[in-house]
Amino acid sequence: MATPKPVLHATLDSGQVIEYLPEVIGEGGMKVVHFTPDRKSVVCFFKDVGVGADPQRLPRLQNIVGKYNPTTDPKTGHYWKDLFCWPTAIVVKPRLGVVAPTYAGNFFFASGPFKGKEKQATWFTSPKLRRMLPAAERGTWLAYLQMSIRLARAVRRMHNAGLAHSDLSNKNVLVDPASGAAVIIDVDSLVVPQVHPPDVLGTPGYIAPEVLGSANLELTDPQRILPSRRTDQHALAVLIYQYLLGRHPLRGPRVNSTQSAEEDERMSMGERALWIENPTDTTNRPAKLGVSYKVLGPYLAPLVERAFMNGLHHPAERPGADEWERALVKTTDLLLPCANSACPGGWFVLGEGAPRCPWCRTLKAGSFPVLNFYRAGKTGQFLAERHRLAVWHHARLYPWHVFDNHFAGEGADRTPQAYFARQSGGWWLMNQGREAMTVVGAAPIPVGGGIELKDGQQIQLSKAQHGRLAVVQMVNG
Amino acid sequence: MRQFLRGERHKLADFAPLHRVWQVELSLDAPQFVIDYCCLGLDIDGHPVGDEYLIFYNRPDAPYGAISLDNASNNGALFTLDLGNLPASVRRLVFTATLHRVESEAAMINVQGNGALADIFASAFGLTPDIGEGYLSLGAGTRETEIIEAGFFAFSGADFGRETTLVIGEIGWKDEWRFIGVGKGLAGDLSAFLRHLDGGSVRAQPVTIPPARVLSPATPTLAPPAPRRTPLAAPSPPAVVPTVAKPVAAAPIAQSPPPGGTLQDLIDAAAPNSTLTLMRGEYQGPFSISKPLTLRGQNSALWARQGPVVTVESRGVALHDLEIEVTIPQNASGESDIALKIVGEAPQLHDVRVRGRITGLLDGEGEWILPPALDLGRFAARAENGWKFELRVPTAVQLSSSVEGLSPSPDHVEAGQHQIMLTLRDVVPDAIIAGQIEVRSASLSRTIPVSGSAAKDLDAARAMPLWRLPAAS
Repeated sequence: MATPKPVLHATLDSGQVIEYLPEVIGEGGMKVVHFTPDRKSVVCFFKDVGVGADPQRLPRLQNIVGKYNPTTDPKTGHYWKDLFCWPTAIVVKPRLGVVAPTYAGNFFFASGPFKGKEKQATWFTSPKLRRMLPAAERGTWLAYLQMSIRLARAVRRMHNAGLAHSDLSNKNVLVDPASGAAVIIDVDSLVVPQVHPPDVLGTPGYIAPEVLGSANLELTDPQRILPSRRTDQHALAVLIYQYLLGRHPLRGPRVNSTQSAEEDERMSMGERALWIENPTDTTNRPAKLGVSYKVLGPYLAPLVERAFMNGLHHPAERPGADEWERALVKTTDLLLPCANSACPGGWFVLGEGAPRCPWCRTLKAGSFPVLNFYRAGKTGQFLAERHRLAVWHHARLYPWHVFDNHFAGEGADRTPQAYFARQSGGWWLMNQGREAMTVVGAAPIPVGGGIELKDGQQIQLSKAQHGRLAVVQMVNG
Repeated sequence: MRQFLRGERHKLADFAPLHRVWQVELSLDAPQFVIDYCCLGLDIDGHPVGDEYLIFYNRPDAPYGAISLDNASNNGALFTLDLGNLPASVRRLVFTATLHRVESEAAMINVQGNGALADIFASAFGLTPDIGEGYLSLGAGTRETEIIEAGFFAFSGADFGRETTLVIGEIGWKDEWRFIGVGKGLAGDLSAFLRHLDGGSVRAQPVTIPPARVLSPATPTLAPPAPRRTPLAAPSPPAVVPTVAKPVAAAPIAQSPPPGGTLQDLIDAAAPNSTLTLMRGEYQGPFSISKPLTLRGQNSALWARQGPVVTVESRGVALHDLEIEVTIPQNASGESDIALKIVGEAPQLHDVRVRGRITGLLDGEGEWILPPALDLGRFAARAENGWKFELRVPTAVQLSSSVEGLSPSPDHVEAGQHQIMLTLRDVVPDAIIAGQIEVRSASLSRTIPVSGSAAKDLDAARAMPLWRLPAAS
């Protein structure tokens, strides 16, 4: 007869007692982690017993589990549960800790040399490591864009609520390029400005230059800069750059100190940090840079420039998470599938020049439509938005394309309003919405009907308030 | 644009979920007064946070660019708010206007609450209180990028009986940022308002009360009010009615064709002398009505690629609020360009707009020669452009345009051949025009589609010909 597995008991701050398994399944700088018997949750105990004695710690955790918790929002909570591994309860005995949901299975490698390990971004953004992964785990460039959107959205949600993560890094964001999923973990160290100060400075490579530059000062020194939303914005920009371009934005060949490797790292990521693609100072540019950041397109490239030029040493200049989210979402409208089935990226952004895939240099053949969106202004007038949609076979129009007051955020209506199809050499738009679309000077497109797209056509996507006008432009490959 | 009502609360995220930069524009037409516009930061309990968050003409910027004031003049003020840069202590932003009476061009007296606004309006230079109209408009974004207009809150001097400081609106935090139209008056100047907020208590963060602004000599006392950027009257109705029309008491329920069916099936199934009410939308024809029937649309469009689109073959037919459109009329032959064909007694027509030919109607038959469409092409942005076209009508008609800023002249012509001038003003660069010119006779309207796009660095069009009557006509 098998001996039942021993279980230990922990008491929550509500008085409830829960069981957990004695085996330590993970250990970080601050916590040790155990499974609950059903393995649906983990119990994380703070290693430092002094943490429990800190009178601010319990109220901080109570706020994190309670009023700061986006996953309990009745309307959007289910969405945020996929983006955050948010603590669900506080443990007070035998030591202070938290209970959190177990990461979803897709955030662990199912096969290959790293089977069973957590999917940290490092495995995917290092070209050497990436080559070792099974092809099914590598994902397309579209998935990296989706991961970036989810990360930016999650950070935007925290920042809008007045919170800062304080330690965003490749270790604290798990990703799954196979599905485009991303989840922020370790949210029990959230910083609330002027209420809950940060515990940690961050993770090397993601710590903002001003934090590193003032790390030698006393904590009480007013010149000392601690993690905040501004420093999260730096880490977010680094992560997005890594996801989309597969390299660190500041790690280049320039040596900033010959005293020691530590001092060189401190200078290179701190006061002498220099973007490897800085157009005016090329001393940190690798000999083989790879594709330029400009392949990210007209919405993202300017944010990258802001983040790593002016914003690198001037925190107030950094793009906010909301700006990143909006630019990333708009960039998905410029994606085109690469015609080369062996292309490592699979997708690329339509820029100003010829539609050539930057990952395999394949030029898209033939002509294809691009919709230029205009929002309703004064009655009968439609204003240019600098928002374009590149059309591919079976691309779709969603409510956030049809209406200028919809955004593809957490609460978005994702009902397709139309789809595009290539048929008999022509490109067609098929109306799947609930009302006809009107074409200026031509027959309307009834529900269920379609129209062959021609250069210069003006299609009013909806006559309802905030309905957009789309102007068709045929682009030649 | 939405009009906010007094006391209504609106979540900013409902208008622009991701914007943290917002613009609040205030305006009040009271040229005989000096007006100080102010944005005041309060804490959650309604107490002023400190001097640096009292933004007015003399202190136009809050720390970190959280609030900035531009264009402060007697005609209005523009506040730009970066809500993400406000400290946690500021949880309410209150927008006010304080009026000071002007005695002469170079001097003015602060009314200090001893004169009621209504009285002052009434006595000063013969003005009446209802002239003191104003508005607060709210938008997301900046002029450098793009502005999503959320709406406006309108008020008038008559709304304020015996006060001189007007609390116009407020943006406050309750789980998220919200706008509230306040429209409340307070006796006295801003100092009285601040004392009112503070409950007379002495606070750790005293707020310095700004002196009344010295009237700029550049503002002539008797200058006419500047043109308003936003009309103070109710906003013009949207081009189309809402997706789901409001139910009207005792009105028949709007009907949609059954699955797999058509509007013709509904017409065929309807009882004689009944009313068929249509949902807003587009219905593809052709259609034939051969019984007494009322067809009531809600800006519904009946269309077909070939005419006749609607044939009326019975007496006792009434058509309401419909667009009847044949979509490919060019070079048509036979009946294919006919939108409405009437055989026998003319139907009753109310608010019916037709694109295409009409036969069988008393004033509809005859020499109707209208341009099939007017393409304005690319024209000069931010300028006054002019075009001309010809038409021939068999009866007197009114002309109007569905495009704001585009006006036909003359707007009324008698039967005969005419040249019509079209003028279009102040369209922003890269904007597209898409609408119609309506030619309305006593019984119904005909429409001419009009389109074009504004571009920078072009010379303005001057009476450019768009379309001429065929030589043989």
